[in-house]
Amino acid sequence: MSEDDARVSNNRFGSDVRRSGTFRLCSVAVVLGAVAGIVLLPINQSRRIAYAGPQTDKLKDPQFIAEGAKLFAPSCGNAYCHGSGGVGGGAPRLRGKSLEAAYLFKTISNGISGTAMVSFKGEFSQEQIWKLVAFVMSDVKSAPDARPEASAADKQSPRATLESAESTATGSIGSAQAGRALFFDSNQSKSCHQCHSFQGEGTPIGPDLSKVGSRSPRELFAGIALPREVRKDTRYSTLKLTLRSGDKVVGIKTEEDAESIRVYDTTELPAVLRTIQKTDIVKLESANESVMPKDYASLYTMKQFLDLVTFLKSTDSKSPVALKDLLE
Amino acid sequence: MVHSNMPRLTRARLLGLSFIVVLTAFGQARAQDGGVELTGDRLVNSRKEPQNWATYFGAYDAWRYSSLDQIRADNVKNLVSVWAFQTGKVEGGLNATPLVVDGIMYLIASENRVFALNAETGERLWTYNYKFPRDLVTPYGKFNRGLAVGYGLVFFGTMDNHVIALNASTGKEVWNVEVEDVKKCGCNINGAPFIVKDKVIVGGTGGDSAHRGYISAFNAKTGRLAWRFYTIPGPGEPGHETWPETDIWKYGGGSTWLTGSYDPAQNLIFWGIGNPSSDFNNKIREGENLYTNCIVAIDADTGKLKWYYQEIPHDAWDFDSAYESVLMDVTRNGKTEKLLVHPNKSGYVWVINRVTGKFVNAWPYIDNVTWVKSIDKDGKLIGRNEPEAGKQTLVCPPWGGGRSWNHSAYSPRTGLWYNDGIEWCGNVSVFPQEAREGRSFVAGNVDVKPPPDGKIRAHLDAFDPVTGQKKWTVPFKYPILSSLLVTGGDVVFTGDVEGRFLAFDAKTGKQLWSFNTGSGHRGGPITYSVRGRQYIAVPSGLGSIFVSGMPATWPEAANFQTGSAVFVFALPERK
Repeated sequence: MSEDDARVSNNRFGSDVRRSGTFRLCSVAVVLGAVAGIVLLPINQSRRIAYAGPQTDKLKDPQFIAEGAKLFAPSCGNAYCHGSGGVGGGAPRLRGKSLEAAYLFKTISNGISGTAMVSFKGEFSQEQIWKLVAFVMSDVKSAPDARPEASAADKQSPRATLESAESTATGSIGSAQAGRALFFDSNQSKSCHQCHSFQGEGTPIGPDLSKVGSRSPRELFAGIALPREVRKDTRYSTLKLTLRSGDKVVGIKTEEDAESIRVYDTTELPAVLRTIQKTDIVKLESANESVMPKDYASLYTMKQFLDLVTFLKSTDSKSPVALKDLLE
Repeated sequence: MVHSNMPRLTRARLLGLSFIVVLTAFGQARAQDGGVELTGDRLVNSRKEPQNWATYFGAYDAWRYSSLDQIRADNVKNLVSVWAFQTGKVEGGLNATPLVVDGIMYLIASENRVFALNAETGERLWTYNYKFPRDLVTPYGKFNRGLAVGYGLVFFGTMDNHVIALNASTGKEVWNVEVEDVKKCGCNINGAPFIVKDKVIVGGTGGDSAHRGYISAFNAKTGRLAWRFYTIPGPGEPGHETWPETDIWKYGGGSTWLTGSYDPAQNLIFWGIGNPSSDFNNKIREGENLYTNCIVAIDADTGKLKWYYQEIPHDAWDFDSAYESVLMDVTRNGKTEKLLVHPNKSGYVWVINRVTGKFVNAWPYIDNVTWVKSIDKDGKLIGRNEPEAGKQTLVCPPWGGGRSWNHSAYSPRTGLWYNDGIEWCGNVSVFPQEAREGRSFVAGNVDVKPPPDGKIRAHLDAFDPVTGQKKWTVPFKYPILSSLLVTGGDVVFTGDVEGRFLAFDAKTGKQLWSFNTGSGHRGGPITYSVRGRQYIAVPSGLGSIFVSGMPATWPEAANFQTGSAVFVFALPERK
């Protein structure tokens, strides 16, 4: 384990401290260790356990392990992933490898870049992740007959889980959650995320829309529904190109070198990043209008506009946008 | 732009060759620069250009057959190695089928590294290294099965779900489109695109994630989306009623992870659609779940559905219908039928009339099948053995399939269809899960068990493709994970997981030759010719999701070494 790993894990314990005073002593000890520059290698069992943090005493608790087994089976234990009990899947074997508790905790929480291992901290609580750690570190085989607590998933409508009380509010106010779903709707070719990002998600071809929360609801609404009112953002150089082939390209320039221009062609979505040789260009004009689709007024209902604007304003204000806000 | 390697190649040719040959070689190599452009029209007639292996399956009919016959059953034992090419990174192995067009080989290796090689010498002409984000999550691995070539461009999908076109002469990027955000969808592209007319047709993975599958068609020259066919109908569309009145249709799978076939006479693309998800808990999606586990026939120009045939409604076993659709015209009782022969993961082959979409026959290509008792004369599944939550259900074959995705071959000379099979079973456990967009949505697991009739084993077989009558069989210890190739010289080529590249007599199954390439075979062998000499090329390099799972069943497989190289063979040159 590298020092870097240790630091990440310690930060995680740090956040535990803030949430739950019970674990403070142990965490402080770990943080002190890190500050003193002690790299916590698997030197001996006692240190390893000390490093494993707040749930140390529970890592060998059969009940704790059994609960981990139940969590493991559906989320980690299929053959596309780690297989039964962590053996025999398409992903690396987890058993018989003397994996460190803190390493497991960190990896389950954050995932591993460059692999299929995704982050699970949005799916499991820290307590649940410790249960998974306990199961993986144990020699308990698997829980083939386990029925996870959420077995109600059998017949439950996923819609019910996606919609909160907020989004079922009457049409006159927006829901940030419903707006978020619209922003990232993969079934809608003109969905905002095709060209915009929001807090690091989406495609950053046009402006980052997590930075527009301070604008008025009316301005945001007009920016979507009335694209002529879209602000001219000088960072986005919109070009009209006529090519030798007769093809016409309207898009946003990203790069240019001696031989070619790279343009996001937004004629159809998803946008195409095209590398166009300058020798193929017959005519090059700068376009003054935005490349944003012009038909949102007919694509979205008023309720959906309220949802979107509420979502875009959510970085600035938690209160839902009402119909009158769009018009004032 | 003139090919930068042209002068060198041309000078080499001048020594001792006639003027005509020089012109021909020049013309061929210039083809990518617009001399004789490889167009959709030329691809329709690719059977008339046996010197090339221009599409993923060799031709639109998915036969994996070439009429080249210099290398024959009676001389294949004389094959010698001509050149080899190492791609330089072994992680993920080498799953691809190379293409050869007019003397140039195009190869894609793991992590979307693309190479153009002189097909006679192995000389590297250019390399393209895909730059991918450091924080990339690769939901279905880093390997890639192949690319498409045409219109002076090379097309492929990426592990982070882009489709890219390169200039075939220079390897420089021409267009790049992100199909869907990999972090959101839990999907990517590792199957080979294929070109139909002026479009590039691309499928994608995601069938074991909470995702709604589709096939996309992009304008080959511009990269603009031309059409998209969603494999799960949305609200208001026919077929939507085969899903519950929940949001599950948005997460119901139906991926399109392999490559389709094309019938120019009907202008129809045929594509096998993957399993519904969650894979093992079908209670969450009551209904037939169209168009998962279907063969769909879609108009190549518009992407509109012409017909579909659903092999396994309401799947509970993760039996994709994603494998190849082999198009053949078969004369029986004086009548010629236009058929589509389709091996399914479930151990059955479906035979469908490709004009009407009607069921013709279904027959098992393995001995141990217990997920269903039988399939009746109308294609109805009789006696479904569905796993249930809270118990273990023994199912043969398990989700690894009666065979893996590596493709079969069909020879019009022998009339036989060549395929591999695995005899094995699995105990299925069901763990109900809720859908979370883009996240794993398998809801179960399988522990591999031996079949009722003996040991876990595999075989290579030759069948009558319509009746399923077996003509010959060759036993194998481990599954065959290489695609098959059959030639006009009546030789069947394939490779095993330990590294042996093998040649069999297409008529008898007799093994004729083998060569150990040092790593197992997971890609697609091809054949082509340059200046009258026939070559056989085979990718070598074990690796894939299936391979990673092998040690649970075959512990020694943990030590089967990986690799990533292409080996090329030919008969010795006459002095």
